[in-house]
Amino acid sequence: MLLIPCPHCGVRPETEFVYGGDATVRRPDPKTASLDAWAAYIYERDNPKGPHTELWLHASGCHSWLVVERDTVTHAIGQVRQARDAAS
Amino acid sequence: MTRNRTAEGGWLIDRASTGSFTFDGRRVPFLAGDTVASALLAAGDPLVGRSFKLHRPRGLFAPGAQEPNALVVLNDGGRLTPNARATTIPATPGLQVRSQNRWPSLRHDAFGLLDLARAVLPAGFYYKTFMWPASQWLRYERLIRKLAGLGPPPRMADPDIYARRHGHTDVLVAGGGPAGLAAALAAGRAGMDVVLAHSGPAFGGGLHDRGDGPHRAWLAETLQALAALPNVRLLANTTVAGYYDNQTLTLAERPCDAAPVGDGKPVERFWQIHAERVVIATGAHERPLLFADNDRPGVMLASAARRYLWRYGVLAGRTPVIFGSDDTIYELAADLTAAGATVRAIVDLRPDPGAAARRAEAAGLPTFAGAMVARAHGKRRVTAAEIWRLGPRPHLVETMQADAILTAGGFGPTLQLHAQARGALLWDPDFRAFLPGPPVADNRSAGGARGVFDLQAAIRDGDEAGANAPLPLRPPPPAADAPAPWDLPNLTGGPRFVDLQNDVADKDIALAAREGYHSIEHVKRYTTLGMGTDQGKLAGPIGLALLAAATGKDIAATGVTTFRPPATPVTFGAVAGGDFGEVGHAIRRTAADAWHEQAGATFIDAGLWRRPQFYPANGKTVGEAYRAEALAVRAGVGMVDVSTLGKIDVSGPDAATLLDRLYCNTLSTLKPGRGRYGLMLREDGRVFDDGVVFRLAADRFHVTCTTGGASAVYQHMEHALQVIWPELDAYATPVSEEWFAVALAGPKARTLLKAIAPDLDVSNAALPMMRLVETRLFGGRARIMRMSYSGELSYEINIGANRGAALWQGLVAAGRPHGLVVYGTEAMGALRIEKGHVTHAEADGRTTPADLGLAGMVSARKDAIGVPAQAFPALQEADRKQLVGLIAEAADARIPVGAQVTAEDLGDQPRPSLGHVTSYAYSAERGRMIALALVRAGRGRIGEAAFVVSPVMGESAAVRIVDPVFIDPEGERLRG
Repeated sequence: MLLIPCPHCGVRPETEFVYGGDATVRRPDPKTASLDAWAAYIYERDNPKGPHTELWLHASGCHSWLVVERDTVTHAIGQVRQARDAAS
Repeated sequence: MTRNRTAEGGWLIDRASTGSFTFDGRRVPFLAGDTVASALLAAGDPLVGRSFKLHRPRGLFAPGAQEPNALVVLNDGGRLTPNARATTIPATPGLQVRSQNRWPSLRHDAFGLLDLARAVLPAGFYYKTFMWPASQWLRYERLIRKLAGLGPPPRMADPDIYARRHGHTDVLVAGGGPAGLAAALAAGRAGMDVVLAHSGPAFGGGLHDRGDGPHRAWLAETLQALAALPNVRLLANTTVAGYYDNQTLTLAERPCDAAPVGDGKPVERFWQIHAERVVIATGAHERPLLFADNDRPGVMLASAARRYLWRYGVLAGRTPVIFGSDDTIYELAADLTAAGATVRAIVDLRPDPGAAARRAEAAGLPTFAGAMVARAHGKRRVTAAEIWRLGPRPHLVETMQADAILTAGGFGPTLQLHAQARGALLWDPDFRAFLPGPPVADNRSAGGARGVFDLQAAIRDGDEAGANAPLPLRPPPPAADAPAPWDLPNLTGGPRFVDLQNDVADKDIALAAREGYHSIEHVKRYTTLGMGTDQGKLAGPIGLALLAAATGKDIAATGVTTFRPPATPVTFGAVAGGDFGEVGHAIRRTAADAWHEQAGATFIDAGLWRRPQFYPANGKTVGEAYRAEALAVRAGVGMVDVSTLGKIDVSGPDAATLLDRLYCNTLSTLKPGRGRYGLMLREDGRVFDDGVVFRLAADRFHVTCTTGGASAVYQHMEHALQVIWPELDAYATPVSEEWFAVALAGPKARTLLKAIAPDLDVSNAALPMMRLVETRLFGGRARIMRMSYSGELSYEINIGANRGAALWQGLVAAGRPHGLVVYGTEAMGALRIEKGHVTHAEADGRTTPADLGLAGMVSARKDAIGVPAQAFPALQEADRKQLVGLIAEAADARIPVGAQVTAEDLGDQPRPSLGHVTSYAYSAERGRMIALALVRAGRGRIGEAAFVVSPVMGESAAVRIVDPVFIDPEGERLRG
């Protein structure tokens, strides 16, 4: 069971959250992107062993999409930011 | 009846307080504090069960939860609990206990004959024998289950209460023996929040398994000190079952063990605890010794005999033989002699046992050094032990009459929790055991769980673990001057059991190795070694050592099987807690739910909502009712509660831009007060959800989505707003529950609307298709939207949920003169199928707008989620499944459930599938069954004949492939 510190709600158990996958992928620019770029954005994800930057939605809480640093080996949770802030 | 009870002593029993329970209908007396096992043993008979495969008689064997034999059924009816371990169940008055896996009785088991067939029931017998023909497997399985079964499952609902709790603590100590108590005290005194969980009723563990001494005073003082610390929570009768990632542990507590069952308190409580630090002080298990017929009732671990004697004042035998390889066997012999037993022999594997042996001999106890018990005699209980001298020419010394054989094969740490927390296990040849390696998570093993077997050292180790001192080095190993348990020779022949519960003998492991099973994980599954309720706690290390020997590898290289939770069995009741039956999940009810209920509606689950499926007042069966309801809509006016549809309020200066990017069609061009059907895609180009979007103001929209998609659509919107386009200034607010919603449909819908809103202009000119007006109805703010799902003239009225019941009842009253019929989801489905509207049955996550005939909705003039992916070649292939209609050729034909669409009728041979039926209904208008289907290149097949077939049901029907819109293709009705 992961414990994720939500910036709004405090430390909350994983069951309150919905996983959103790799937070580092960016939606391609629709004006210029090739089909390959779209395919990569939609389908291709790394499965790293170790640090991973990922999205979690606090669905049973404040409904913030969060960017969470998590180690896939130890499950240690590092920095947690709001996705809105992380993008800017 | 208590011939094995000693005259005095027993730390945990109260001789003044007696009671009785029944075992297979026979009355068994007990003293307060007894377990079922200790009371049975006191009564004199160690026979408690039959083995899993061979139905051999089996007796009490181990001291605690690792007991492999004494599995019993408790109670009856809803309170029936199978596979309970008699060694851990407190004896309580009136408890019903039954032996299991025997027929007709424990003493005379008909399947006991299987034991004679042992030679032909080797490892993997069932796999090898019952594989062919595959078609007979179900028949074989029934037979095998009868032969090889555990206890019966309960067949009635459990009347008892099960509870669940969540908690946080600084330190969780698993195990309330000497090391655990010391750890809890050290951590508690340091000001930490501590939870100390102990599997039994009496904290102290192994301290109760020995005579009087200074440790008794230490125990009393420690318990007093712990009770005085408000930051320490003591959980007796609590097993730490699972140790998961991030320091989450599950505990199974039986708070009511001593109390009568069912007095309103929970019988079990399942804890989920997050602990900053864990001290694993779960002790050590004694290893069994291998000799022929080592499974006879009366063969018992020395640690179990010690426990029965000191805790409960019960002798494991009146004339025991004690067999082992260290000085503890002489202590046990002295203790049993003092308690009234006549020890027939002490058999020591060591050729030169030293001072303790000489003292025992001097005290008149017959001792045999450099010898072993090679075979047990007796069937339903031990009658004698064959004592053989070891050496170059082993030979039988004496067949000693005895009623018990107590074995001391050395101890190995319990490793379950350490291993569950992904800690490595290190084979230590000096210990002849696996020891916990460096912990990966925030835990530390202490005491016996780490190989510290000496009492004083274990207390010290626990104290250091509680204070979080650095982990010291490997503890000193016990002397190993005798053969290891697995190196004992089989001098007499006969089965030597490694896993008593699953009847796995040393020969089975050797056979598995010969047949090529070299991985311990494979051997486990092939032989069932360690797969019983004891999960190999006793058998594991020995089986492993035997496999290593058979494959010529060393034990460290052979490895161990994976340790998975729970460490000891947990009941389903404990895990389920209160989450079953009607309260298994929350039920959402619409504002008109009470009316539906009173009208006798049959409900169906739609997500968390319950919705009326049909009203039996309209027809006896679901089929009759929905046909009548749908017909009434087409002929007059019907009304359906659509409150469950998702509703999201989208506002802000960029609301229109957001919706344009979320929907594949354009919504920003909507004028206030107007609505449009919107199609939402996933980024991979598949249809995600759909619904009608009304613009309320320049910067505000009312978005509807499907009942099932409501929460996912909202999450998707927040993802777009927070992750993809955080620069957009817009807000999404889910408002599904704020509004009660009802749809009026049918040619007379306008008449009815007029009746409840006499002042409103509801003419076609003032309120045309896809127009919204706001008004007040029945004392509440209401929105009336002209839209149609059924294909008829139709209005959807939304009103504040608190006025929902008033609106519904007002409509019912106003509709009476107009023949208003209330309909449910079944009729709603039939109406939309006739109209060719898709739901999630068609938009199943694989279909694109083009597949569903909605390609025209995809706007290429703007960016929107899922639009770029439409260009993927895979989404443009010619033989993709496309939405079509099917209509039965015969008026009385049925469309089978789960039907495939084929070009030829169902026959003996499989037919290639052209596609599948997604939804079907009876069309009153067309007078026969119709369906929507996804068919390969289906639009090109319109007009062709086909079949709907279900090989599973053995049914088929001839159909024609048609356009998916079955009625009013021009939409004249809904616009009229």
